[in-house]
Amino acid sequence: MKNLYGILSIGFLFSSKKKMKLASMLLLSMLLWSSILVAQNKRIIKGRVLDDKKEPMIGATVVIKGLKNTGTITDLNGQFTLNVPSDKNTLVVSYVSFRSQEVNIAGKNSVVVLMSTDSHTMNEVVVVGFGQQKKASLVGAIAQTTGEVLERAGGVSSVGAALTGNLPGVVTMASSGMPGEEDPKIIIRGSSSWNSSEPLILVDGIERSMNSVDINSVQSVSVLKDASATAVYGVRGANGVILITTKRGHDGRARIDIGASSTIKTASKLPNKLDSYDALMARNVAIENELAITPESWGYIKPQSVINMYRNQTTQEQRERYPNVDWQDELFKDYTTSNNVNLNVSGGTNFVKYFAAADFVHEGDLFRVFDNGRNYKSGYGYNRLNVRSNLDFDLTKTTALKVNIAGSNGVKKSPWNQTNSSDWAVAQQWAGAYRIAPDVFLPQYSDGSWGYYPAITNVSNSAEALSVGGAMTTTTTRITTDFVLEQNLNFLTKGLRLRGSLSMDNSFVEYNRGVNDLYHNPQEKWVNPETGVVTYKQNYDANSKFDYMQGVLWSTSGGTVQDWSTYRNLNYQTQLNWTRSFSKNNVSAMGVFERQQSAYGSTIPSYRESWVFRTTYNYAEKYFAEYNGAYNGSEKFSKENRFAFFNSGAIGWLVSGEQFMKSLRFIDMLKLRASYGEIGDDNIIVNNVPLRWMYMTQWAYSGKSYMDLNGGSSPYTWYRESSVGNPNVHWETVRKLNVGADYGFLGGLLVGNLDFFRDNRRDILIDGGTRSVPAYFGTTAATANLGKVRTDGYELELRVNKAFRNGLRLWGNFNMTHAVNKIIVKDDPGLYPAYQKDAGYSIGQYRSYISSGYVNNYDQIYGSVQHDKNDLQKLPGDYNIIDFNGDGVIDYKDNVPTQYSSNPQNTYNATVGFDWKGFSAFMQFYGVNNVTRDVNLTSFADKLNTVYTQGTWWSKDNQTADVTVPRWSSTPSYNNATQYLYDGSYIRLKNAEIAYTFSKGWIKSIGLNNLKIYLNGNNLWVWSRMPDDRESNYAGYSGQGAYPTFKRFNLGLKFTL
Amino acid sequence: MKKQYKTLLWGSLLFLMAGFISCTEYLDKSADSTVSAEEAFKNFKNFQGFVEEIYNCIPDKEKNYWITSFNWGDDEICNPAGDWLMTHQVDLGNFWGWQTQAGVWLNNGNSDPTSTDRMRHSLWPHAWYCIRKANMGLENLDKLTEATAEEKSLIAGQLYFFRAWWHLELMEYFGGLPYVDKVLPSSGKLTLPRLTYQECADKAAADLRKAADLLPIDWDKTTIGKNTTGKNMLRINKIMALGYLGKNYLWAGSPLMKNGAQTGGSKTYDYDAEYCKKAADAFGELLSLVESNQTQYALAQFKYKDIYNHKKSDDATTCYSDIFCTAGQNGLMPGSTEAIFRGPSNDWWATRWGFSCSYGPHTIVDQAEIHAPTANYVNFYGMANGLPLNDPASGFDPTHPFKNRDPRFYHDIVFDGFKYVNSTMPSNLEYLRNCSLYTGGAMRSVNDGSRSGYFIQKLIPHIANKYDGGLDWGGNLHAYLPYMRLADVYLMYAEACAAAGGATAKSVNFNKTAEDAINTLRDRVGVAHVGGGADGSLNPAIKTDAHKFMDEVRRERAVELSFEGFRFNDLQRWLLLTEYPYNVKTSQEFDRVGTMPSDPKDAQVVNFKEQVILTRLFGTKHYWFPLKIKDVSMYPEFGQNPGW
Repeated sequence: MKNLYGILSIGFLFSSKKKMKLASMLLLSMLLWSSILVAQNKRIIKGRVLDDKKEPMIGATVVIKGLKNTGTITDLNGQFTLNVPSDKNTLVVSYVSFRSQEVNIAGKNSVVVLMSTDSHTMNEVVVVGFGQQKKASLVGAIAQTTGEVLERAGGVSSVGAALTGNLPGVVTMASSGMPGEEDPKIIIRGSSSWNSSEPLILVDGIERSMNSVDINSVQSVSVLKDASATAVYGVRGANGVILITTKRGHDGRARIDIGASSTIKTASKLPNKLDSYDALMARNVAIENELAITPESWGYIKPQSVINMYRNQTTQEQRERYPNVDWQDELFKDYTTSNNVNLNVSGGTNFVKYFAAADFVHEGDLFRVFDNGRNYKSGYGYNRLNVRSNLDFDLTKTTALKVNIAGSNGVKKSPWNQTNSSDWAVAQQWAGAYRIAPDVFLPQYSDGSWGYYPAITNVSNSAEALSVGGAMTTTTTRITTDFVLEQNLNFLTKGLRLRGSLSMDNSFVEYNRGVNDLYHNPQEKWVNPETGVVTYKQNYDANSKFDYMQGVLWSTSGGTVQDWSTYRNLNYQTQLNWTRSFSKNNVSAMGVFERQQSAYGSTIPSYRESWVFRTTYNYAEKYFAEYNGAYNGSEKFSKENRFAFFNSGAIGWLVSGEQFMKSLRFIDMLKLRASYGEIGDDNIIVNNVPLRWMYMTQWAYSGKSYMDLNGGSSPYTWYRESSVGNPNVHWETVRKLNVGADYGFLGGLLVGNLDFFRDNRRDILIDGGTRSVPAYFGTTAATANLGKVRTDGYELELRVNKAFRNGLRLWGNFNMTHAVNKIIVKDDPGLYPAYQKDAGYSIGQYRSYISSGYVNNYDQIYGSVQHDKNDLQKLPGDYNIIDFNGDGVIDYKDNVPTQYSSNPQNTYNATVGFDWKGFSAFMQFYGVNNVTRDVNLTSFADKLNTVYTQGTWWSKDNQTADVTVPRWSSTPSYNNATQYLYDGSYIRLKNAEIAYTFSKGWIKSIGLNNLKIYLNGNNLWVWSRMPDDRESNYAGYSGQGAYPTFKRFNLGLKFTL
Repeated sequence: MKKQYKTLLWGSLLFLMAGFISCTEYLDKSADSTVSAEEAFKNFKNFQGFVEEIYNCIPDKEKNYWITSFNWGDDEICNPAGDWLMTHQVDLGNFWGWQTQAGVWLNNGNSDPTSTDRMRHSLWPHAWYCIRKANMGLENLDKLTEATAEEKSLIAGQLYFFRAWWHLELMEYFGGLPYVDKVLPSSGKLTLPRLTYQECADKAAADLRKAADLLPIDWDKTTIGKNTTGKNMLRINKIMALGYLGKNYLWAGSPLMKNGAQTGGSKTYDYDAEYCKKAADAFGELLSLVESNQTQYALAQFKYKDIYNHKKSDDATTCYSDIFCTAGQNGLMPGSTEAIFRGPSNDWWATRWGFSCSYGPHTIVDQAEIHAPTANYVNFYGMANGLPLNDPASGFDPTHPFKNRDPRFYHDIVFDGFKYVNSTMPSNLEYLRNCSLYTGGAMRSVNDGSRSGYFIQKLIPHIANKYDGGLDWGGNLHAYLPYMRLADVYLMYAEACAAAGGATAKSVNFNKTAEDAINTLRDRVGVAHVGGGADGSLNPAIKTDAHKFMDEVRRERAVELSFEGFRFNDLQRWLLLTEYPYNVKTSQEFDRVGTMPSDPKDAQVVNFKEQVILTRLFGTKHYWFPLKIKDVSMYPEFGQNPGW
C-alpha cells in the first residue's frame, strides 16, 4: 500500500479518528469549490399542474431544462414556485406514468400545465446498475416496482416478503413465520448453480441486508436479470441483482406522511392430526394389519373400553389419565397482533433537500406461553425501529453532495440461547404442533407439574420447552452511511460528470440478554393410562431426599456481543459519466472504479476490486446499442486467475418509432431487444462458510489432544493442513442470452413485455467434499471448476389499464415466469448409470423409490420383486416398488429421479383492482407449480399415537386408497415410496386491499391534505396439497416443521400533512 | 476563474488516482495471517504437535453417540427400541447400516479431526485422514533438523505405527484396500487398485516392524518423554507396535484371509501357518518383555471381596473391573495396567450420556434401548473346573445352572435373583430390586427388560441405575474400551501357536506354550486349567485334539474378551459368521423353584432350556462390509466387495 491514493483512500488507511477529520476536510473543500461559482440573476415563476381531469397533481416534478439539479415538486394544490435563472426559458414537468411536458416560460411569470397520461410509461426512469436510464431506451431485462406497490402487501414487515409476485422473474419462498425471521429465500429466474443462487442485493448501490430498509422508505426496487443489466456487477451479478433505492427529498415545503396500521395474524395452515380416540382406533387398525408378520404387536392392541375413556370425559382425573390434547390449540393463541407506525418528512430548499423517516414495527408472537411459576414470561417477538435521513446538498450549481445515514435496531425476543431456528432443540418448541401425540401427556397438569413421557427420551413437551426456556433478546443494530459527491464537469467537456462515493456500514448483534433458566428442571409427571400410576421425573430432591420442589433459580444476564456477527463494510467508488447528443445520435459512457473491504467478527477482511464501464448509443431513440462490462478481482483466486473481464452487449429497435408503423394505430409501442454477455461468480459456500483463498493450501496451528489419563491435555499443539488448495481454480462464468419485446397496445389498454432467456453456466465450482475423489485421498479435495448447467425460460408480463368516463379505472397485472435448469456436467462418479448421475437432471432433483400402485394380496406379494432387506416384512396394501433397473431386486439402485426440485419451475401472479373516486381495491393471487416438497410426517413414529390425516388407508375393500397403512412395529423397507413427496404447487390470495382516500372537504378543515383508510390482508387464502403452509424447508427440515407461517388482516391509515 | 478550474481539475485527478493507481497486492492474503507449513516440521515440539492430532482422531467406540452399538456378533441382542442400532441392522443383514445408521463408530458424516467432541470421530474418514497425515510427516522427516536422534525416531516410529494401524482397522471390516504410502496429489485422477488382504498386511507388517524398532518401551524413560512423565501412557511405544504386528500377522493367517469368504465352515481350522508363526514370534517378543518385567504392563488382578458389586479385595493392588470402567477415581481413564492401546478419553461425564444407561432394565436405568447378552453367548462361560458347559465331565447341573461357574460369569453377567438395586427405591418399584429373569419374570419384558434372561454388567457396573447413584455426577463412572489389552495378546499368542502347531507349540522367543498362555489367564481369574481340573485331566482330549484345543482357545477368547467389540471380527475371520450355532441368538427359559436363596448363584430352577429368538440369514457377502457406493463407482480397479 505504498502507492499514492486519492483523497478518499488515504482516509481509509488511517484510524477512524483521522477518517472523521479527513471527511470533514473533504466537506470543507466541497464548500470551497461551491463558493467559487458566482451567483446568476434569477426570477420567480409560479405555476399549477393539473391532470387530464383538471385535478391538481401533487408531487409532479418541475425542473429547469438544462439544469437537472434545479427543480421542485408541486404541492398539494398542484402549485409550485421556482427560481429560474434569467437565461433559461423552458421548464420540464414530469410525473410517473404521465407524458413529460416542456413549457415555454419566456416572458411569463405564471403558467398552468395540463398533463396527459402516458400509459406505456416511456418516460419512466429505471434504476440500473451504477445509474439510471429512461425506460424508453432500456435494452436490458429489468423489472422495476415502486415502494407504493410494496406498501400494499398487507401487514408484512420485510421488504423481501413484500416483493412476492410484484416482479416478474423473481421467485420467493417462505419457510417460517418466526417474528423477525420471515425473510423469504429469493431466486431470480431459477437457479443455475448448486453453489449459491442468492441474488446480489444492493441498497443505494451498496451490498446490504434488505432488513436495513423499511418498506415505507423504499422509492423503487429494480431487478436486473440479463447479461446487459448485470455485467456491470461482473463477478457478483451472475444470480441477478436487486437494487433498492430509498426515497429522497424534493424542493418545496415540508410534506409529512404518517401511517399507522395494526395487523391480526393467525396461523396459516398446520398438519392435521387425529385426536386420541381416533388415533387409538387407527392404531388398532394398523396393528391388525401387520399381525401376520409381527404377532407380538397384539400386545399393543387397546381394548375398546380403554379407548372409550378418551372420549366423553367427566372428571379431571379422567382427563389427566387419558389425555386428549389438541397440541395446536394448546400451543398457539387464536391470533396475535402486529403494529406498524411510520413517519416520513420530506422537502427542501435550493440548497438542501431532505428526506427523513422513522418506522417502527412490532411483530407479535403466536405462542400461548404457559404460566411457569417463575415470574418471567418466555416466548417470541420482534420490535424494529428504522430511521433514515437522506440529504442532498447543492453545494454549487455544479456540485452536489448526498449524505445518507440510516440506522436499524431490531430486537428479537426468543427463549434463552437460541441462535439458529433450525436446531433440533429449538424446534422442540413447535414440535407439538407437528409431531407430539394427543394422548401422550398433558402439557401441564392441575398440580403445576409438566407432562413428560418416560418411555422415550426424545418426546419433549413443547409447552414446557417454551415456557421454562428462559427469555432473551437478540438485538441487531445496523448503521449505514453514504457520502456521495457529484461534480458536473461540463467545463471540461459537455455532458461529463464525476461521482465519488464512500460508504461505511457497521452492524452489531447482541444476544443472551435476559433470563437464563438453563438446567432448572421443573417437576414433570406422567400418568400411566393403563394403571393410573403416576411417575414423577424427579422423585425426590437429590440432596435432601425430601419431596422435589422446583427452585426459582434463574439469573439475569446482561447480554453478550456475538463477535462473529459483527460486520463492517467499507466501499468506495469513483465514477465518471458522460452523456451527449449529436443531432440524433445520443451517446453515453460511464466508468467506475470500486473497492470493497468487509469483515465479520475477527475474520481477515475480504477484499474486492472492480473496474466497470458502460457505453450506450442510440440513433433517434429508435435504434439502440449498449456495450458494458466489468474487470473484477477476487481474493479467492491465484494471481494468474485473479482478474477477469466480463462484458455484454445489447441491441434494441423501437419498431413503433418507424414511419411504416405509424399507420398501425392500435400499436402504441413495440420494442425488440436482445442481449448477450458473460458474468462471473466466485461465491461458493460450504457448511455456511464462504470459501476463500481457494488457490492456497492452508495450514493451521491450534488445538491439543488429551493425552493424560486424568483428562489433561498434551503440551504439544497441533499443526495441520487445514485445506488443500487448487492453484488452477478460476471464475465460474455464466453466459446469458436474453431476447425480449416491450409492447403497448390500444392506447394504453394493454402493455407489457415478453422475454426469453438462456443461461449457460460453466466452470461451476465444486467443493472438494462433493467431488468424485476417492475417500483414500485422505482429506477434503480441493475445490475445482467442474460443472456446467443450462437454464432456460421465459417471462411474460401483461398489464391492463382501462379508465372510464365516470372516473372508474380498472387495472390488472398478470405475469408468469418459467425457468428450468438442467445439469450438463457435474463431477459424477464415472461408473454410475445415467439415472444415478446428477448430470441430466435439474439442481436439487428429488429422488425416490417409486411404486406402481399397491400389492393387493399375497399372490401379488409373492409375485413382487424381492427387497434386498426386510423382504419378509411385506404386507398386502404395501406399495409395489418398481424395480427400475430390472435387476430382480429392490435396492439403492432403484432410488430414481422423480418429480421436481424444491424450486418451482413456474410462478404466476395476477393482480386485479379498481379505483373509483376515493375508493380503491385490489386482489393479488400468486401461485407456483412444477415443484416438489418433502414433508416427512410419519404416523406412529416411535410407537406414539401421532396419526396424520393423509387420506384413506388401504384395506382389502379399498384398494384405491390414498396411502398405505402405517406400520406399528414391523419395519418394511422402501415403503414410503413417494408418499411424503408432495406436489408443492399452491395458489394463494397473496394480498387484497380495500381503501378509501379522503382528499377534499372536511379533511382540509382538520388540517390534513389527504387521508387514506385501508383494510388489507396478506396470505388470506391458500390452496395446496401440502399438509402445512410452508413453501420451502430451509427453516427446519421436512419432518421438523417450523414456526407457523401467518395469514394477516391489516387495518391502517395514512395521512399527509 | 482559470485558476479555480485548475484547482478543480487537479482535485478531481487526485480523486481519480484512488482507482487508477492500484497496488497489485490489494487482493493478496496478508502474509501475517498465514501459518507456514515449514514451521510444522522444524523441531520436535512442532512435529509432535503435528503427529498428536492423529491421537485425537481415534474413535471412542463406547461414547461415539448417545447410544452406541459395537457388538455385532452372536453376543448381544437389543430390544425393539434399539432396532435402529447397528447390532440389529447386522441381524437383518443390512450391512449398509454402517453408512446410514447413527451411532456406528465406523462412519459419521459429522467427523472432524480437530473436534474434542467424542461424537465427531469415526473410522472411515479419520483413517484416511490420518494415513495422509502420517505420509506427510514421513515425507517431511528430513525437515526435522533441530532434533536429537531419539526425537527423530520417536516421530518416525509413531508415524509408521499409525500408517499401519489405521489401515488395519479398515481392513478388519472391508478387506484388502489400497495401501496408501505417499501423500496423494491433489490434481489428476486417482486410480489406485485394491490389493488383497495379505498384500496389505505385508506392507502394514513392514511399517509396524519399523515402528517397533524405532520406539521405546516406555516414553517416561526417554529424554524428551520426561517432559510429559506420567502422562505418556497413550503415546505409541514398542509394545503397541509389537502387539499390532502380531495381530496383523494372525489376521492375515486366519481362515477367511487364507481361503476367502465361503459358507459351510469346513475351513474354519485352516490357518496359514507361516503367518501364524510370524504372529507368534511378534507376540512372543512382547510377552517375554512383559514377563521379564521390562514393561509398564501387567495383567490386572481379579481379586474380589464382593464380585457382584465389583468390590476388590483389600489386598488387591489393581482391579480387573478398572480395565473397562473406573468409579470414584476422579474420572481416571480405565485400562488399569492392562490396556495397551487406547485413544484419548477426557470427558468422563460423557459416559452417562452415551453409554452407562444402555445395559439394564428400562425402568431402572432410564434408557429405551437395551443391550442384553444372548443366552447362547452367556453359555460360553464354562465351569470353574475349566470345562465348557456342554462337556460331559463339566459337572454342569441344569437345575442349578448358576452354580460353580467361571468366576468371570459372576463379574460380567447379571442373572436371575441378582440384586440390581442396592439403595432405597420407590416402594412401588421394589419388585424390581432383585432381578426376576426367569421365563415370564418382571424383567423379561421384550420392550423394557431382557429378552434373553441376562443383563451385562462387565463394561458398566449395575450400580449405574437411578437409585444407586452410578448415573449421577457423584457416581463418577468413566468407561472406555481399550482397542488392545494384555489378555488379548495372550489369547492371540495362544491362537497363533495353536494354529501353527497345536497346544504345545510356542514361539522362538517366549517360553510359554499355547496352553500355558491360556492357563495364565485362567490362573488370574481362578478357573482350572485347559482340560479341566487342577491338572487338566478331566478331559485330556481338549489338549491333544488340535481342533478341540482351538475350540477351547476360541471359547476362552469369547469369555475373556466378551462384549469388548471383538466377537464379530473373530467370527468373520474364523469363517463362522454364517454357521450354526453362531448365527442364532437365543434366550434362556427356566422356572424358579422354591424360595430364592441368599446368594442367587445357588438358586434352583427347572425347565432350563434355550429358545431361538432370531436366526441371521447370512451368505458369503456378509464376510465383508459393503464399501461406499460413490467410492466404488469411480473406476473399475477400486471395486465393491463381492455380493454387494
